[in-house]
Amino acid sequence: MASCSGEDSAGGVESTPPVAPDPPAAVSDAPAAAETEEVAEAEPALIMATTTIWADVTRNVACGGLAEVESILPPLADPHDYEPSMSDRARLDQADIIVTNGLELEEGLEDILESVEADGTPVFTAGDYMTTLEFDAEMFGGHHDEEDEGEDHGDEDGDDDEDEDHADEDEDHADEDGDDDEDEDHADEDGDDEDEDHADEEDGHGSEDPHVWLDPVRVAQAVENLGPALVQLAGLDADRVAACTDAYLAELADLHREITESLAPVPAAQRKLVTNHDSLGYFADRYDFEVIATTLAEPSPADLEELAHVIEENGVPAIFAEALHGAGEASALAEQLDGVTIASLYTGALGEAGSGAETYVAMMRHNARTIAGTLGG
Amino acid sequence: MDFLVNPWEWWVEPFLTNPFMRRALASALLAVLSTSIIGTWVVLRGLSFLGDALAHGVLPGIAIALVLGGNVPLGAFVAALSMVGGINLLRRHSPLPEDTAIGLLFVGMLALAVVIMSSQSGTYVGDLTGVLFGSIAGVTESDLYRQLITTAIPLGGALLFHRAFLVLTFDEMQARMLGMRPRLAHFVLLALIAVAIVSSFEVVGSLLVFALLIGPPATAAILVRRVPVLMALATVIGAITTTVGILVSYHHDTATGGTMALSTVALFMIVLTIRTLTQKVRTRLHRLGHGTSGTVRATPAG
Repeated sequence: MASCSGEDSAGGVESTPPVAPDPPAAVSDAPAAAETEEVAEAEPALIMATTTIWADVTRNVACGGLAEVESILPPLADPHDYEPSMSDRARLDQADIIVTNGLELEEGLEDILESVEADGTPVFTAGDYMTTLEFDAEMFGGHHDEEDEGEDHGDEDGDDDEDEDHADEDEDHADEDGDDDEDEDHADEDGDDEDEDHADEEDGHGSEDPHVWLDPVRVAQAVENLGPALVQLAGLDADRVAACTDAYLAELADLHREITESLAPVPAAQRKLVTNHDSLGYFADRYDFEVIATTLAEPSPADLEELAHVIEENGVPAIFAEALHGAGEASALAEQLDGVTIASLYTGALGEAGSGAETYVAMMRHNARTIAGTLGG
Repeated sequence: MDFLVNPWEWWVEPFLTNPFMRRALASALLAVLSTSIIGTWVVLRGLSFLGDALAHGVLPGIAIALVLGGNVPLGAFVAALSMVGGINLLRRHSPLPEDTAIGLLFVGMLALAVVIMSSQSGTYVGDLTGVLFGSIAGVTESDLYRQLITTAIPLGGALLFHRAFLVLTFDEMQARMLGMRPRLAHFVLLALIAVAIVSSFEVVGSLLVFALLIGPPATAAILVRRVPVLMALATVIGAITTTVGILVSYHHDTATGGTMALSTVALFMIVLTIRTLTQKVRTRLHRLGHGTSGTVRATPAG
């Protein structure tokens, strides 16, 4: 259990340090593993995760050394538009299981993942195991935000309205398991009216926010399901994976508590986020923040003016930029506004060695501290 | 140098061991077949710029199809056709040369695609990069069947209109006198270019489609003159460069679409360089009367 802490597995694509001899018995434990012949006795299983973040989470569930875990996307690559090579494709074919985020995050890989799955490699989609939020398409216009101000803390939570949603049954037991009772209630209330608008506008096409990993409670929901999948489909040792899953879940629960505590001093009036990439929806939902505006790629002058207006009106002291995208428009905006700074968060990928965001847990801790420090605590 | 030292392992084994490599190869070869044959007319008639414009002119159609959730190839085809119509209209009504009309429509279509996609900001429909670069590593069998059918259309069209295109290309005046309606033939050719582009862009990306449309025929045109021979040679050249592209991407972890396009253009440069050098050597030999092979080797070889 002690060997399962998130800290031993730094980000990157190298194989993890050997923790224990491989468990050859695992093959006979899992009947489904018989289908994937590549579960060789001598070689550890190969697990491919799409992003560095999911690779780190998977590595923890796989006890560090039970399987070789790699990420397809190199560190700092944008998952939305990464173009893979044939050797990426070959690596995916060799994998025993592929761990993806889903919810259309891995757009550049979509066709490839489909064809790999058709060729017989099982795919675990983390997004299937949690409640999702819809994107606020009107983020720019500010209509929603102004109308709903004051009551709309948690953005929209899709709990009640997404009946057609694939994760219907999962939602229920996710609610039981997660230690998120304090949020869930009022998220339900204000979810209603908004969700209907969205369903009409967007036809369900790519409208779900894919950035689920920025909420550790949702990650924990995926982790609970990831362990059994690794045992069944990649032939990992069931007992050890269960132990490491429990240890990691405990770590995630600690992380959640820690983030809540470190953000507690931020006064309610300051709980407003302006970001340069629309990725903090789940974070905001979990920790009672509100994403009031986003500087997306190529904002029009009218968008920028609106944004400046929103920032000034709300007295927002900082724009949160993510390492992955570069500050660009955000820093130009910050310069022109008095007293607005740029604060850097790791949201799309783990940081490099020495960045203080080498693992998922460290990354989230870094983000929470940065937000707490910037918004006043 | 592995491709020389271990030719079997480098060239053949990846296709034997990986079904996805075979599918990628089949898809690339189908794309080469239609683009090389239609592309031959593009190169011979000097329509490269139009081909480029069409390859990117499909984007707003794709953008609309993505936003509305419609059929992407259909959207692309409609966009390409409306672009062909637009070029004809502009050419007839503006006093400027045709390439100006093409250029304006080209940039207009691209801008339209960007504007359509940006109107969807906040949601993730941003599949356009996938359209530009394709995803040949993710070709499925049903993709291949669909491609097989759509490849048959430009091939059949090229066969059916071969004589008309030939006369149109080499003697437009005569075509008119023979009552062959060169305008109609021209329009049919443009439509076939559109079909060839649409049938291939989904797997290889619109950037590579354009590379395949003019790269192999241009390379072949350096070497041979007769149209059927040119088409055959272009197909062979395209097959070689795409195969090399796929293999380089496999062995050296490079982006597949880009590697295929690059090897296609690189081969053109190599062939052109070799031909220029041999021509120089030949004229020098000619001037010297009968030069020895020693002087040949002394010429700078780059």
